[in-house]
Amino acid sequence: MKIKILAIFLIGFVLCSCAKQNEPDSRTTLTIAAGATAIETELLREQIGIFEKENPGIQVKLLALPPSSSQQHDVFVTYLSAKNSTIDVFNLDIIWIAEFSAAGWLAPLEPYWASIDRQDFLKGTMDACTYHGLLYAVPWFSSCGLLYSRIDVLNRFGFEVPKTWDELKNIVRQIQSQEPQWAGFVWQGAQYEGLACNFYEAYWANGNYKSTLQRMHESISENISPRSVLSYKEEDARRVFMDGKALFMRNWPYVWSIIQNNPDLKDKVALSPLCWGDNPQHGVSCLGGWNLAISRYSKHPDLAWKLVAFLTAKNQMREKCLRTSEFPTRKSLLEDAKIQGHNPYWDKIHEVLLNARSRPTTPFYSDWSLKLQFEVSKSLSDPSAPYDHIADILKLKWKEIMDLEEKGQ
Amino acid sequence: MKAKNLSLMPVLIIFILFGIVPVFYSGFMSFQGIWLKTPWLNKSFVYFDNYRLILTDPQCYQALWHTLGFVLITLGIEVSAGFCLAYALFRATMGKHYLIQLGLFLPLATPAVLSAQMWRLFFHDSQGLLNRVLEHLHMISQQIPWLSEPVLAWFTIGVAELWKVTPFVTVVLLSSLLNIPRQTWEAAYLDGAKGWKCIRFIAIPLIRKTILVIILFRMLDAIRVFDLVYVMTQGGPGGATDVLGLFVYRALFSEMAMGKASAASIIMIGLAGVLALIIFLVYRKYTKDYE
Repeated sequence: MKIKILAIFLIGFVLCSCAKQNEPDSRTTLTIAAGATAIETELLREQIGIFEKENPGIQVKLLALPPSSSQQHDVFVTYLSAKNSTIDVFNLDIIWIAEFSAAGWLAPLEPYWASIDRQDFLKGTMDACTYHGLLYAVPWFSSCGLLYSRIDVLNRFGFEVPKTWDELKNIVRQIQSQEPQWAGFVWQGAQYEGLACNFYEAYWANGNYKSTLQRMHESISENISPRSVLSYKEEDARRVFMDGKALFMRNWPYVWSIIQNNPDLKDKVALSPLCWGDNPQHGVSCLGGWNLAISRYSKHPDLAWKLVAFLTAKNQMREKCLRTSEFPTRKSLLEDAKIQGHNPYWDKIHEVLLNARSRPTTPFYSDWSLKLQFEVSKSLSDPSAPYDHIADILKLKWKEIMDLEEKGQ
Repeated sequence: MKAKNLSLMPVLIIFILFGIVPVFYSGFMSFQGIWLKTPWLNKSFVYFDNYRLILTDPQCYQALWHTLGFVLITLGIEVSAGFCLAYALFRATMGKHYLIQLGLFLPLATPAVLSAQMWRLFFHDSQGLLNRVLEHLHMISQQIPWLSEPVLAWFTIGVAELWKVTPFVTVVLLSSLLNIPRQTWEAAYLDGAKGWKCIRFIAIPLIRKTILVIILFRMLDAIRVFDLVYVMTQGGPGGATDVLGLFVYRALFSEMAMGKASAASIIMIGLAGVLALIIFLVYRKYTKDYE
């Protein structure tokens, strides 16, 4: 009896799976790989749905990747170094484009580019997508480091948002002397790419390696930042800040939309340029951003371009900026009334974004960044480390990278 | 060919395909200059350049010492703590409580990445359970930087490793203890052996083979440590928890230097081979002495 039932189940199962396979699907399948937060993934699925309706012949599969950018990098390297054609469209971090295009993994977009308005994209983001004069990716959204402040606490003590390092230090000290439970300024100090961004922001504000290291050191040794920032990534810093434990935080714009969904914090946070330096006009921030590129091994590059053009079109980009608080890469959207109305601090942010600088564009960036993370993290975790020595090591490594690049060309 | 030998074929084929061939292929690649980022610089033969590159890199030695230290310390604690636990369980239950043994397998059944993430969250400097509990009990005034202080970071990685592995050692040693014939113990009691003497002259000598095999397995496993460190500290702060596994990973995924990564893997395999050989010689010596 049992065997009979089992047999019926088995036969049924086999028949069902045959039926499914035989069902013809004439649509071409495109695969887009993107790692993102929950809000971003949800939005991307919606936009893909619209795209599929507009293009009945195309089916788009979303390959969701882990949120950590270095893990995404590993996935891409694994696929592309094996010349795998599964993924057609990649969502690439701004720092990988030179590396991937030098490796010959991305399809140059020049032949397609004429079909959309090139002039509308911000120059900084376009430069980062260009390698040896050829365009390899379309800027999808950009972001830059911002200073989040607990404006309610600052106001209670009669302070304004700080513009220089000394102001920030002073505020933290004064508030801590009366309410010692506050951690001052949290940023990303774990040994990973985020540390490189934080380092560059401090470096641009201070001008040289030595004084930058000194300043970051000072922030920890004088308890302006808790020692545990040395293990923080973006989300760690965000949680500490949103738990109401820190006065200031350096983070990317995505945190803004999360804060806006939190009724307790909603009106208590202000955005402003970073202030690692002494000059109030010099809050330079690090340009981050994600860009859509087409794999050289894609079997349907023309259709893939359609998808890229659709996702980076004005309407889709506006929707993305409104829902996720990321920044647009189109100039026309910077002036867009809806986007301006979305964020009360837009004027300030707008300026930060226009002045943001990108990390060096070289295929050897990750070699350099690894060394940078290693040395900076070592210097910060060891209070007795001589800055001079580490600054010299960094200079030497940078020269080595430049030599490599010359040799490569 | 005899049927007996023929039945070995499937295993042999799989072993050769997935065990031997990749090692040789890595060995072959370790003499090539393959830089995925700059394919125009690739060379089909670079002599020992990759090895030279690795052996002149101070980070390699740092990772090497860390790995060896990690292997020795965790191995020592795992085996001694595992043995003590096994002996205590043996005396207390005579192996009759299967639930305890089942419970001991739980950490081992947890995927490594999951347990590493669990420990990372447990020790997390500001969000971690441990610091929060200590704060609530007013035992600390400032958060302890478990993951951002070099020594403490190693401590947390060690705890995660011991949590995962010690129970396994315990279970294996316990089953080995249970295999010692009852008469041996009875004879020992009659001769007046108690406590430490039972351990020194009966338990350890009679399960020495198992102990050595466990040491061999655990050592080969510990040399490859990667997942724990990757999830918990990524080698930070300042490379204080860097290990060989991470070194290879960086060479492959960040520098994208296939040749260098292969050479580093070959060095790792060589290291594991040397250590395994030492254990094997010890094993031969000790098993001979008593027979």
